[in-house]
Amino acid sequence: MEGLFAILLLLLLMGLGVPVAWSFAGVLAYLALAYDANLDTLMMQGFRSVDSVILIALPLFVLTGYLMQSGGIASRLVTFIETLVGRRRGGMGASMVLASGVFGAIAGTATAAVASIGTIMIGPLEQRGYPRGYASALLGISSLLGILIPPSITMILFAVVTRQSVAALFAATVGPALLLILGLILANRFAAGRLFQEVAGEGLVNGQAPSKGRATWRALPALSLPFIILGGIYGGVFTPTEAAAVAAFAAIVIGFLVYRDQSLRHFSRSVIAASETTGSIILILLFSFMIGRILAFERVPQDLTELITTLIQNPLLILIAVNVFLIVAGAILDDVSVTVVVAPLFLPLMVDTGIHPVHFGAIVACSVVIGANSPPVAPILYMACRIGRVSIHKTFAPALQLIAFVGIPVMLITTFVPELSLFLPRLLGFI
Amino acid sequence: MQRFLKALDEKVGWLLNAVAFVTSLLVVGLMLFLILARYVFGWSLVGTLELVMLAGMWLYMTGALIASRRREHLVVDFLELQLRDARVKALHKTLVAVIVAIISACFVYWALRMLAWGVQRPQHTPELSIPLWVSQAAIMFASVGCFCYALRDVRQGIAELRGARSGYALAGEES
Amino acid sequence: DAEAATLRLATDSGTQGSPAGDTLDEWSRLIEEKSGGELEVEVYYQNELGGQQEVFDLLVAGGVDMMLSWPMTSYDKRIGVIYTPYMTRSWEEAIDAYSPGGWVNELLGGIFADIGLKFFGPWPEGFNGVASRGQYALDVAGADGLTVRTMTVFPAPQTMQALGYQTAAIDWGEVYTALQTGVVDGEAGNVIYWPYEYFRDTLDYYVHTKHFFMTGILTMNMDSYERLSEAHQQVVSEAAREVMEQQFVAARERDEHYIAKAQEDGMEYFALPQETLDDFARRAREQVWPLMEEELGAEIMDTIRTNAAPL
Ligand code: NA
Ligand code: NA
Repeated sequence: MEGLFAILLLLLLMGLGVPVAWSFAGVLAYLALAYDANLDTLMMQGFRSVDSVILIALPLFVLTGYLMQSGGIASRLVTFIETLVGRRRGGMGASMVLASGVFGAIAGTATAAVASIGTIMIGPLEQRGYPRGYASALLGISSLLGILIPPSITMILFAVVTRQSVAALFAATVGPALLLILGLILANRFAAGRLFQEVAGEGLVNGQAPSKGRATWRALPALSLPFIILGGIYGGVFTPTEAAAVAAFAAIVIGFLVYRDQSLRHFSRSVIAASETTGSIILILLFSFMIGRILAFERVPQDLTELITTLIQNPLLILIAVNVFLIVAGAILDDVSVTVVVAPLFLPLMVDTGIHPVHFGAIVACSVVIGANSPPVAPILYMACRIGRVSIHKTFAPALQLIAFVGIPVMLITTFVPELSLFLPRLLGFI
Repeated sequence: MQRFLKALDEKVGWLLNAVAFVTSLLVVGLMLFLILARYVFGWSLVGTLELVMLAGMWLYMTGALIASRRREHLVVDFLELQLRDARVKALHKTLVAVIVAIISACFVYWALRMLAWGVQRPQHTPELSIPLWVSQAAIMFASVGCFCYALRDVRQGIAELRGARSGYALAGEES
Repeated sequence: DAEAATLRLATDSGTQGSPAGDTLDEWSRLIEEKSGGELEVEVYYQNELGGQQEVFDLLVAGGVDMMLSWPMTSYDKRIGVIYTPYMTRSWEEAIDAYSPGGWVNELLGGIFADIGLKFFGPWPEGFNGVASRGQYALDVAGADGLTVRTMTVFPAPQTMQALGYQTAAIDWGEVYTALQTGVVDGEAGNVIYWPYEYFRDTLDYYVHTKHFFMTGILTMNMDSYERLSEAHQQVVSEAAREVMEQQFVAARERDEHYIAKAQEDGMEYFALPQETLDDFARRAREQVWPLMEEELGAEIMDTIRTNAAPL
């Protein structure tokens, strides 16, 4: 009963336009009252949850994203990819998808890709006839490649909560990521001929486009970043959390010394903007952790899984039910809450059903791709709207189409073809 | 009064940016130092991690406060975009600001209870013996700051409401 | 008069079905049985209420009433006395010292009372060792160049350094990954159960250095304890003593069981000769004990020096 009221309150507050973090805090206030929570430790628990070494990767990856933009790394990547695919049908959209993918191999969050790739690409996409609403929706979903392609904050958080290997989880989402890239490029190619007319015209690069060779040469330092970061992690030089610091440092060095696009003024602005983004995410995290703690104390998670297992016994139906539940949870909760609060509830059930925890991690990651873009709580989609300067409701239809025709199929295939996610971790010897 | 508040806001804004900048660089630098120390020199520095966490907590909370100051917290603006009438808009803005003020007052209270309990049972980090309240103070700082910015928004909402009522459509000036 | 009450019991290390988890089940069963159902116990296993430090906060603040805890030193660094290297060196010595009336037991009881906790007794696991991958060390010289992860609690890193190892500060959440990718070569500080249970795919060797006698603590929030009627206080204490006594017997058997099992599953196990252990103990007592005296005070270290068996 309290749970139902809490969800309604959350929807009411968010619907009214109360910032998401404060909506969570409002629900927390209600739950603390309803369950008579111990106020000596309530904030303390929130503090302990965000005072985590692993979480330090969050500000670092967000910072990396901003620095890649202001340091000219993102634009080199985009130019490079555009010279490869930009002139084909749906090429501009495909460029954005691929650029987000490469970007995702450097940064661990989706927000970084939205900010960097979006700022560079939404304008040119519009010039080529892509409606802004559609372009922003495509940006929102492709940016989630940042969490499917390692390194990934979401997978780090999932690993922390479920005690699984970060390295194995990183490898598990690569298959689904490739599938998502393929799906988005195909869907975009379809849309470019039918939903709107892609016009020929200027590419991203005004004036004379650089040759393939030149674009590749200029993108080399940027393209080396994923190798440094993933090589360092899998080569045992640093942990995934520490890798985030290496990424930020490399972005600083390349921006200042290699491309020389970075200026002190832009640098300090990026750092501050990154801290602001981090702060607003952390505030949401803080309050959702505290809500999670109260619910755990009242055994809501345990009761919930018990309810599902008594209602459904068929393993196939359980899998579908959990998929549906994750999608619904993703619609009304932010991605972090789904990863750290909701998903772990189902882990014991999933293991009983014969699902490998690492496989389940990949399923959860797919649900986050959907959840972060499905209204009402769609932080990444909203951010894409802000970057794309378009009203939120104009992206609803294209976002839901992309989710229905790409996102959900990818999640279902990931769910029912375990090899897609387990192949690489097995090959690398992590499971 | 108006001029004083504006000057104060600018000073505070500068200070917040400075703290965010310094703590960000500290987190990056200390973390790199930790890797170098272990990988190149073979030193173990538990204390470095404690400093990273301390800088991180201040970074988080200052960042949250900067987002409040610039009204950049993530928001579902569907309803807001439907409103056309300046008076209704101002009313909506005031209502949201009042709700945020009430909720952030709760935040202040929770943070206070945490600090109060920490005074009763003080804690220290294992290696450097840094008192825990040094990083918990960041949460107190953010909660009070967010509350103040919520009050600022209430005040502005009411001013806009008054303006709209007396025929001056100020709505849309703030964004 | 006996009033009905619900007590919350938690642990920071031990999932349902693990040895520590089973102890929670048993402790709660005994309490409910002995109180004739007047006391009810809600059990929370590892991670259900958050991380290690978080659950300990809850205990100190009374959010959780009772706990099987691997105590943190943040509230009082004197708790670190249970991590005094080579303080007790055999099962017999350890059980004497930790049992009610034993000198370590009395020392801990006083320290716990100072932070508002009722100390029932230890829940011993056994002597710890170094689990590693690729290479291993049987003496101080062999440990050169071997990097192991230790607990961040003082003086765990200092102790491993005294034994010749390099140590690394890696958060518990990243230990598994760090072992897999080779950021560290091993994990130092647990009885064989933990590396076997959690890292057996990754780790090849277990060297029984026996530097700490590892033990959990059966404890209760003092206010929660004092709120109970005298009869109920009796019930909770007696139940605690019973599970403690069971564990005194079970722990030793269990440790031996897991040493055998780990070897069956391909982990190589090394028991060290007495001279090596004596050498380790001498080094640790010479290098680490003076550091502990600075941190924990002369009074505690004098008690330890008086009571610890000489080398
Ligand atoms: Na990524
Ligand atoms: Na959503």
